[in-house]
Amino acid sequence: MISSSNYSLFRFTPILTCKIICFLFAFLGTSKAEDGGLNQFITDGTMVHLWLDNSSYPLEVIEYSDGLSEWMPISRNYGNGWESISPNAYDVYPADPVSVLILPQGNNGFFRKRYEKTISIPGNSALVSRFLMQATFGPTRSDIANFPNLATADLTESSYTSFESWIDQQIALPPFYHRAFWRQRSDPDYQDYTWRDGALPNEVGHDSSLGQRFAFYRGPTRYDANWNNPLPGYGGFFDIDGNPIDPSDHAGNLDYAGVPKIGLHAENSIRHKGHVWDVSGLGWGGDKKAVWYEAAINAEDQLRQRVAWALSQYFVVGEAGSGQEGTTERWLNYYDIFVRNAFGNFRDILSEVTWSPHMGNYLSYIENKKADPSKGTFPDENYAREVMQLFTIGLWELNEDGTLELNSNGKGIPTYSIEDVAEFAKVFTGLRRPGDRSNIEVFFGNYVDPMRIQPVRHDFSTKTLLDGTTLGPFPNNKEGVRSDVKGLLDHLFEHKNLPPFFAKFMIQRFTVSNPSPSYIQSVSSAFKSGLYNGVGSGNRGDMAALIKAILLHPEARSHRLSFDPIHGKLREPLIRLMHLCRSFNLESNRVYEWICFKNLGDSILQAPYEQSSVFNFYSPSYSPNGTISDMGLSAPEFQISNDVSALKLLNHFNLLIDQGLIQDPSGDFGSRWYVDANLDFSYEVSLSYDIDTLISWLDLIMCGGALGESTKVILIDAMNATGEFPTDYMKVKYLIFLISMTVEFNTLY
Amino acid sequence: MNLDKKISRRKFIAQANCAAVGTASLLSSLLSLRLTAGAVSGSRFPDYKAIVCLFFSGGNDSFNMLVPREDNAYNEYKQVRGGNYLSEGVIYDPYNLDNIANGLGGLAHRKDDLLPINSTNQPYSEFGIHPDLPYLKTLYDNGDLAFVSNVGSLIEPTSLNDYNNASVSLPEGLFSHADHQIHWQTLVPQVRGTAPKGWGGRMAEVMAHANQQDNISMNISLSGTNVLQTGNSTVPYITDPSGIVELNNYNLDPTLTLSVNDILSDHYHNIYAKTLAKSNKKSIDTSIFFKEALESLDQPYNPSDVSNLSDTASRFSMLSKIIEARMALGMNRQIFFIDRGGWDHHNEVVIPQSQLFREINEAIELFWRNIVGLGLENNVVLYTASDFGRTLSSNGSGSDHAWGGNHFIISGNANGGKIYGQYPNLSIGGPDDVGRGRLLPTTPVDAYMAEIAGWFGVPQSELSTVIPNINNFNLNNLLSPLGILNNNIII
Repeated sequence: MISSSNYSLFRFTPILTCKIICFLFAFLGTSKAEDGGLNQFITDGTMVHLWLDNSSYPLEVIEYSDGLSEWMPISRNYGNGWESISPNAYDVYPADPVSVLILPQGNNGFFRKRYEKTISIPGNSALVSRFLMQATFGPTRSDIANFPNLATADLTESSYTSFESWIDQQIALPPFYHRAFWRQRSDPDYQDYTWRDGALPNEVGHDSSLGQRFAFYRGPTRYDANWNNPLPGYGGFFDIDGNPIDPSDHAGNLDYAGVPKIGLHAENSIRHKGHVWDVSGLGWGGDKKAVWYEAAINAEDQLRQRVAWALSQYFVVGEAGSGQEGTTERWLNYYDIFVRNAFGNFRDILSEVTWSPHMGNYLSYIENKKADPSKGTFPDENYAREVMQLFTIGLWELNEDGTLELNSNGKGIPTYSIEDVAEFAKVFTGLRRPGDRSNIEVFFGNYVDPMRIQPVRHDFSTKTLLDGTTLGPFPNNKEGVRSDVKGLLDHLFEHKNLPPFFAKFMIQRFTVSNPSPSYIQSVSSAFKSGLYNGVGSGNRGDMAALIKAILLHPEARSHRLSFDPIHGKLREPLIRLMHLCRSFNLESNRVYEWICFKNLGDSILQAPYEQSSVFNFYSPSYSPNGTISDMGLSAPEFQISNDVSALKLLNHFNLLIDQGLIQDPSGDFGSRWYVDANLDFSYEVSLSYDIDTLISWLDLIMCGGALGESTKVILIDAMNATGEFPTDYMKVKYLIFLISMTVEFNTLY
Repeated sequence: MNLDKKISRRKFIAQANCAAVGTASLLSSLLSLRLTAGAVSGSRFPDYKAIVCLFFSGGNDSFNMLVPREDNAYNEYKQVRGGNYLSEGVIYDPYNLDNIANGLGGLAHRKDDLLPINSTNQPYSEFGIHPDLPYLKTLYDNGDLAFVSNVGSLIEPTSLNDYNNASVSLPEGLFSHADHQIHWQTLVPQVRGTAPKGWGGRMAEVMAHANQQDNISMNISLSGTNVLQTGNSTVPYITDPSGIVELNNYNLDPTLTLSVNDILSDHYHNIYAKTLAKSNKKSIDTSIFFKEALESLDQPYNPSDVSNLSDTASRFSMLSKIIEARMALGMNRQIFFIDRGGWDHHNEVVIPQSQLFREINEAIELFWRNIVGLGLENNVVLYTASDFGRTLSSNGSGSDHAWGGNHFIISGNANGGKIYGQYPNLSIGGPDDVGRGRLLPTTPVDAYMAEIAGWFGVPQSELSTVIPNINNFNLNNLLSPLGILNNNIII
């Protein structure tokens, strides 16, 4: 044992007042060093043991430095015991009354930061608004007002039952299916048959009362009498309610080839435009995005839509390089995998994605063939690699809390080798594009129904799996191919890496960029057990359990952590934009009703379907230079926040608030040269008689009540300096624009 | 108690270094850089030099970019690529889809379609450039372009035996896009991820005193955030062909100016808030300065001039305007980054690659004519980078991730008209084949980049800060190990 006098021990006691502005200065400016903050201090010559007594403070953080210049937080306690913090993730052994933190010895010092005064608890509306910023595309006045037990509950109570009730309500809502929404408003044969009596028999989805307001691309179609759904229940063969279609249900309605007819079609039909004026203005590929914006801004099942959006950033198919930009149905059908299974099971998503010809095309395993020694060819390795690297297990062996597993030399352990990639490439052979059929959007083929199987192209050899066990051999037929694919997907699904790998990805999409190991562990464990608080399907891969574990963890909910500098995240730019649209009720003023954002990927580097590659808009480990990078932490969204995109985003906010949705001078933002949708500030105008009232409301609806006192002072000064506005409406708009530039709106902590 | 299973980033870097041969000084030199930034002090450089990195992200199948034409070697190429793509008699035209219908299925170009060039220092002299890169042939024949063959990320000299026995340190995450892209930019392939920072960023820090002001970074990206240009304390200024983006009304409304300055001041303790405020403020300030400089030109940049150009050409067009404004910007040294993606040709190589090469050829021609027009052809070096080369063997109609690949450098200053490095034997199971025609690199990226760093003016004493593994490779002249660029002052 070495005496503690060999080390620098500090106690940090900032003086707090209830004003946050004072708190900040106290925090930054008036450190006060004392001895004895860390009671026990033991070292065995290699490792240091810090004894941490139970805390009665709202938040305490232990910091460590090896040079007394850069201080790294290594442990914290915000009322749930001491825990370790990323990226160091040193071991903490919690116990009562003293926990032990263990880290390697060095020439180091420790800092114990205490937040001594009670942190004032935000009101229920603010807690709800902040929650809705995490769980939806932005809070609305009615969402807050209708929140379960808003007036009566103690929303800081650690079981978070009201929040869970809201999640259960969301899960119970009927899903907004993107494909159905589009089909109800588009009809491949509409123009050809308008002279007849309204809707055609057997059309899938079209509701003639909704008119023809989306384009529908279809080339010549044909039936393939041999076409066979390779995997009933998986993939795109669903009716508009998301139920699998059993072709035998249509037995009385066969076509000339004896194949069930789901609808009539016109041979050689071309791209059909709606008859409502200006629908074509959605532009090339715009229809699917208009549906997405409709869902994000107006759908009731907001949580499901947020989960789907997160999943679409995980199982990425982007327009760039797809050759499919101008089509609609295959994208919506693919996206609906995520809508349908948002609260279902990950294993089903993995299957549906893998069998999707849309993914097959994007990652080039559709039409993939077994090796041909006569030509010297080998199977395409693309999907075999990415299904591991991105969709299931990642590159490095992980512990269940998301930390890297190390070998005896202290190095990371790769999950697979190039030989494994080549081996698994053999599994994804013999999958082919399904035959064309009527009444779906066909453009160079059918990319809606699941891929079909051609055994002669499949490599039936026995495959060696990652753990050395083998897969197969399977019989040389379609069933054998299915078993091969299923066997590999099961293998990856059961891999110990999947729960922490996927958990961390999803946490980053909803709540924080740098989850603590214990946060990852509890989400990971809910995913694994299929249970949240003992409730759930009990199946590995349960999405509902995972989502609850993410949103209801104290790290997501506790208001105390808003004082921890590493807590929170930069919000996704698209979600910030959607937030404005929802909170101020963006509505089309045109007969076609759609919200026609231009390809926002070009300006703010994020938009539905606009990932530039399978690696999504940003890397989960991206770390911007400066404090974040120096601390070894990540902040993915900063990868798309640069000198161009960040200012374009602010300019988009400005334009939307000031004029509405319209093209800007460089052709970005709106699809049209005139305003075709407006925000509604009538409620805000009604509050504008009093600047404090107005700011309080905007703080609530835009910042979840996080607006700092100093920011409020800036806003009030600005409003005073501007003098009288010609109208209250202009005053409101100016203020909202200022708030849209604040860190409290753009980040979440 | 298994304490070893947890890891810290710092610990990881330290361990990665210890595990590598000859890099014990890496960590210390990276850390000391913060203290010694701008170590190359003293007088500014009297000349102007600009580096342009053209990154082909996705992995260019570059053994179809530079092909042997000598009989035996060509036949080996044709065989390993599964035969020709086009049958004899069909006219070569990547925009004629009938070609696909007439395709033979192989990945090899026909010998007669390749644009013939010669090189002296290879086992044979006849080579061919991809048919859609005619301007590269022009530059090559003029002596303004040099190829470097079979370049890839390595940590130390590595033979096929070393690879098979894992008896040397190998780059982390071999054959994966993200890892290889990062390795090309950090030049520290023994470390996974971006923690070592980009070598362009480190170079800018070493040479910080070269420029007359620091309002604008030495590094300018025409393609967004990237690793290459992100140093320990510097980040690139990012712009794009849509013109300089400013915050609307910021300069017109004094109240807005003050409020934005206050909102984006540096008082936030939350790290995301602090980072966003700081970076947005910097974007606003830089855009004003940058715009002024570009508007001071006789013919200011006009985004509508590039509206008909390809993606790559419009970025190069903007880039040449920035070079033209170098005086107004106060720049003696600049590093530019342009990324063109879309090279991950698993599905099909020949047609998509040919179409991309047409775009690249046109963009480079437009750019280089601008540079020659400015009289700066000796002051600018353009070099290519890419994740990796691709498998020589086909997966049917495409190729998969591999390792070594071919690259080129363009500069009036180059000893061009030659292929540097060792053009590999392309035969199946050849001496550099680690499997399926994935070629073990014979020239490390480090040697290729040292060529450029040396030309730019990095002194030998600082070279290992910029290129940390440079001393591992037993190179002769560290500031021009391949002998491509003349390391002198260019007035």
